[in-house]
Amino acid sequence: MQIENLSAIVMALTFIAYSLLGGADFGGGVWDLLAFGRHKEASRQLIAHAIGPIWEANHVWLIAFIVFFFTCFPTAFAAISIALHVPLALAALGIVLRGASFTFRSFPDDPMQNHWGLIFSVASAVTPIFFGVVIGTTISGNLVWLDSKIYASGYFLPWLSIFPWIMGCFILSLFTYLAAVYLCVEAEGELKDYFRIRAVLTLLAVLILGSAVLLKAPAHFSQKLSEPQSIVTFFGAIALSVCALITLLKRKFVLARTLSASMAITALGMLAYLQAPYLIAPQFTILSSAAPPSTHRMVLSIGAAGALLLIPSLFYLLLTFKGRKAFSLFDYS
Amino acid sequence: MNNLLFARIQMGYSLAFHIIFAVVGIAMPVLMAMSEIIWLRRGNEAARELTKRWAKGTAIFFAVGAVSGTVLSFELGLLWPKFMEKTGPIVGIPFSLEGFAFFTEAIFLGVYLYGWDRISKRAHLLAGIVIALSGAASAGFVMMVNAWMNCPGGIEFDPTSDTFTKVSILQTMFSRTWLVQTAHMLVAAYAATGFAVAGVHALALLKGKATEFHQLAFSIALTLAIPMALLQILVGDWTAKSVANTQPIKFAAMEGQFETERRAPLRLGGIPDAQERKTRFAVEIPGLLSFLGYGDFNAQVKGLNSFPPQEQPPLLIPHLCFQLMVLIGMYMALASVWCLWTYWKKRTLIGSPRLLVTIVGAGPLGFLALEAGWMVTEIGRQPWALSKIYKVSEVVTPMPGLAVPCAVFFLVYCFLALTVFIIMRRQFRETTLTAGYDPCK
Repeated sequence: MQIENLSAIVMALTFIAYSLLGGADFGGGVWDLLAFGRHKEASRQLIAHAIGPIWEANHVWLIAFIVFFFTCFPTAFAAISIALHVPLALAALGIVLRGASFTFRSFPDDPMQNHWGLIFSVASAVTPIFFGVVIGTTISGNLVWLDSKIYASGYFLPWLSIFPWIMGCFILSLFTYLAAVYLCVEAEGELKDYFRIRAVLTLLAVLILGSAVLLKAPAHFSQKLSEPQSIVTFFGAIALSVCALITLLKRKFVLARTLSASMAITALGMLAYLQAPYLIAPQFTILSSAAPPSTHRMVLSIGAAGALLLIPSLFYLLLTFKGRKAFSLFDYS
Repeated sequence: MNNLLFARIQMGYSLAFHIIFAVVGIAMPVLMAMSEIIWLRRGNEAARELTKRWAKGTAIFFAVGAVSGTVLSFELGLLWPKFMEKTGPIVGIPFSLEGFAFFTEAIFLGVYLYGWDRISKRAHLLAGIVIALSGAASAGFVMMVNAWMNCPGGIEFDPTSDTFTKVSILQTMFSRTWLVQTAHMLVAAYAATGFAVAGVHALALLKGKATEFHQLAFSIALTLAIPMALLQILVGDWTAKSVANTQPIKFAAMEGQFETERRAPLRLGGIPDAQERKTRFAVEIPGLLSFLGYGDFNAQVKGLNSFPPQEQPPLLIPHLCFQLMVLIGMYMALASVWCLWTYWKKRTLIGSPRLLVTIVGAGPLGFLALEAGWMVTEIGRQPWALSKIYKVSEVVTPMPGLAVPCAVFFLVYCFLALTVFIIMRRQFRETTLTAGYDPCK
């Protein structure tokens, strides 16, 4: 395999890791926003408790993704930064407001605490949509460059079309669903069922929006979608969702978490596969926007060496705060 | 043109905002580790309380630093896309390393802040030390990028194809000014944060709240700040020599030196006049600039007039900011000497209100000096983004209407800064509100 493709795969994996970890923290914020009824306060406390120690570490996956992107595929990074300035800036605003307000909120005697809570939850809900809008626009084929140099599609119209927003809603639903399943595992007593219902409902939303993404997808997606491996992967994702649904109904929450994370990995991985060889369809491909091979070798080596440092540290973090339960794949009881 | 100006303003205040939180995130873990060691060694309750309170305060700085740093990584592309397109494969290497250092920092900060009752005391202290080390490492990696922008070594640039040839990544990382810039920045971070913390607790001591808690906090902070403020005199001199040798235009701009001459004078104060090509109202000390730049009173200092006009930076801001930074550096060093003298004579610093007021003043001034220093190095590099290769005007985004994001992010940052200030003030007041209240008891 060409090293550029390997880099593209690692980059996609970084985003998947961010979705599974950091994405779920955004999803937690959505559940904070949607909290109501007699479990309102208890659910909010559980969310804050679950996110608190880990969100900053989870957030670094996004930074890793961005750095990886501009180092390995600088041409495409610059192109996206120009064409999608507005949604990217809105996502950045969401990130800064979400993180800051979450921290401000944790000072218990703050008279503004309710306001911070609201900013935290609204920013958590809005930011993933813009992530999805950006991803969706790079897939849509709406972005056009003259002579592959001069950007020519305007700064609003390309992302203000239907497909990017379907993708935005899909990403939001996926993050929100993952959060609900994780919270089922972490909750105690009645709260488990509170989040179970929500997990089931959002899973349906994920399936509907996921199908909408594939139905509305541009031509280069549909062509690859008819390949046998795509069909197998698609049904694999559906099967994982159905199994996750069954385990949720049977209250096997740890197994449901395993299946849901696998489903998310499959779905996002498939999107990346369908988008390949494009980074921005149809003008920027992995190879056309790649840095020299030596850069890829170096970044991948740094990544491998860094992982040796990082994985034990992450393991320690999760073990400290989530216990052994964080690593189990099945329900033992 | 206006668009470029708004892009520069937005990048400028984003960095100016982030640097405060980054610096606190680098230096506070050192103070926390010091006080935790005192707690573990002596079983001192005040030290335990102090470590916890410092940790809580640091959490907010760290979080805002992390998210504002993420915004910067977006803004690199949003505002300077061509810069990232051309230099991404080069600056990406130190940024990747920084990513891992930051990852380590974030993981162990989580462990440290939330793990008081979950891990052993020794493991907790160790987590604190890891945070302090990875914070310093992050600074070193980020400085690789800035040092390379000032002195782009390790590459050859081919203007016809607009590409870099013969790239040596190691040389781009360890460019000529990297070590000195990193030293200057880290020492500044420790000195500024140390004095800011000491200043806050000095305020409590001035109000007669001479509890064990505030005394301990005050002395730990000064234990870090005083040696750093004194060391900065040497590092600052080293920095000046490095700038003189590697970036003569910046050196001339910050010193207001128009003519190329031997025995160039050091100017105290003064307003550089770009039209008349001279610096007015300055007190000149003959030969001293030659000496400070090159270690020889007769050395030749290149003046601004020897450089093409279109390659000259703005003159007023670098000169004034440089003077301000040096002045504050001197103030902090003198305050340090005064502290040491008083301590030697009386074995305590608490009894002297004038000394305490001086230290209170050093708190905000340290951060002002830090900002001023960055103004010197960044505005002093103009019109270049990458020295002698890419001008900022060549790499700015073509997107029109940059005034809008510039204004929006500015309001958000003002709002966040104000909030952090209010929360920190309230946190601090808790420790001083009631007379004789000792948070340790």
